[in-house]
Amino acid sequence: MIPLKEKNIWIYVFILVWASIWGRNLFVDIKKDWPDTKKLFGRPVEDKWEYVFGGDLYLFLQNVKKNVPEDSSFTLIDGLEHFKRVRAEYYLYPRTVSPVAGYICVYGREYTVEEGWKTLYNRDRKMILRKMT
Amino acid sequence: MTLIKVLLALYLALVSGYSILAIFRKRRIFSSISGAALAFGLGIGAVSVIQVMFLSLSIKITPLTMIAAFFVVSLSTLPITLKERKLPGEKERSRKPGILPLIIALLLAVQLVWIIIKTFNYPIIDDDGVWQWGLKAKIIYYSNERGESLKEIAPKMSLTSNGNHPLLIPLAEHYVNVFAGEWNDLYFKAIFPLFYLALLGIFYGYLRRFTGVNYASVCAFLLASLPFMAKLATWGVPDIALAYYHFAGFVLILLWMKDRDTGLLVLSAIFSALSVWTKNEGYPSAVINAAVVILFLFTGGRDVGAVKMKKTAVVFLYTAAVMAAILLVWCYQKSTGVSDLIVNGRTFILERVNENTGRIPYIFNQFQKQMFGAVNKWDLVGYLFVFSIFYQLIKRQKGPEGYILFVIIFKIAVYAGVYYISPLDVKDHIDTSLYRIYLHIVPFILLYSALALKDIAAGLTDIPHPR
Repeated sequence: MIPLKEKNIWIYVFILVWASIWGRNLFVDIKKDWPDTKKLFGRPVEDKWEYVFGGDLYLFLQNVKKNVPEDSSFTLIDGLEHFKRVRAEYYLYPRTVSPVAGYICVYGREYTVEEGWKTLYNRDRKMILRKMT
Repeated sequence: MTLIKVLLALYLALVSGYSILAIFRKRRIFSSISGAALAFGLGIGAVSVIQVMFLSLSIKITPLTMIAAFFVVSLSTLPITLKERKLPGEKERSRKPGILPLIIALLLAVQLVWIIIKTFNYPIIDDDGVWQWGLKAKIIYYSNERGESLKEIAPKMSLTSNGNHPLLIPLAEHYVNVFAGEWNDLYFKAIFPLFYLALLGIFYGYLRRFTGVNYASVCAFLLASLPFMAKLATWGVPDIALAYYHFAGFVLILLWMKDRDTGLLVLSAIFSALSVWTKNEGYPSAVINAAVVILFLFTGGRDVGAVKMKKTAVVFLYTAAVMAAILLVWCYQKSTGVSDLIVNGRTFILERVNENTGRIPYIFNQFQKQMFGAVNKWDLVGYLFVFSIFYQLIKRQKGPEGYILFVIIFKIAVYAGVYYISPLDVKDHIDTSLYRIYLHIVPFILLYSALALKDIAAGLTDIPHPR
């Protein structure tokens, strides 16, 4: 046991206060994240991605994965926020986004059908996958 | 099963790090904690360099080729390792841990468990972690699968944000997934909490040597408990790795100043070089470390002891190592064909730079907010730092505090300078980066405070200065 010298008592008080506030912060953090942690703990990575993207977007990305071969490029027309788009591009790699490509993937936007493109998937005209014919 | 493969990958990296460390190691210098912390960083550095060599020679990276490379590394250092084992180690000090270090170890364990849970609860989702570092690793993974060389891979980095940034972290992430046998967005995040632990290990190891177990563990806890530090250890961004490499390189210089062992300086040069290979901010970090060496050797009136005759040679070698690292990384960056977002043709247009004077108050304000504005989040480091400076001015203790202060001021000046000349929108630039780059400075601030205030906590500093 460390001897509690009189002149050092306030150091121990400082450590105690610091540790208490750290403990409180950690508790608040754990409490905030607990619902997600409970839901995702030990789940496979795809379940975690589904949670991160949300059901609709995840379903769309799965369809892109299924229909666009690896190493192909596709044009992504979407109304996604920047960070969701970035994650989607990362998730779909080695399929790469390009303004001119053999596939058009539309998410969350109305899109007019053009000739010369075969529809691979269409849900409510807001999730569309087309391949150039 | 995949988890076992990942753990094996990390274990092999650590072992190869130990093998390299054996070349420079002197038992009396590194404790088991700081030794492990240094070995981890060296191992990840070795992993990255080996992969660059393989990719340059179009050799496919597989667990088998990596194990073969580790075998060669371990074998080549075996004679030194065996010799090292025969050396009498430093007589162990009384290592009976008091109650305080045990309590702190327990608190740190709680913190670490939560960091690990948070790290693996989500795939990599931070903007920078995904678009810059994770995507680079993924590009390397699929290119390696196709047997492409580094020359073919480099231009593909333009798909990522900051496509010309260095590859230590993406290569480490790639390495973990090569062992996992598949691309997995979860497992490679393991390296970040390990860098967090390694940074704490170096910080604790250095302080323990000069101030004792109790004080060192308290200070390490202060560093570990900072909310943003714990957060950045889970996000998959390499700032924690850069903070580690720069800090380790610097601490090795401080040890060299005491021990005058050239091996420590070589090791420090390796860590400085690895900081250049981690992130662009590693450039100034390595230069600062070289400047500290030069400053130490050429400040008048110092007893430079054993190195007196080799002063110029030491400075030349350290600077040459740092310059070589900078040149190599720069060559790689050129090969990507991507121009830097910050340092490019627009950066040094004099008219534009002159127009930026209006940024100065904003930059200053953001720095002070970062240092002093997060009291509600229990970030008191800035206040502790100011108090330590005043205390040091009054007490005028002799020690390495001056060098640490030099590094802190240099780093703040460089980062502020970059914000000043940056062609990006300064508000956006600061908003998205200052909280991360502050992490590169914080270990130095806490080390300074810990050393400056050590005699206030006299009851905790139970080991007198060894020399």
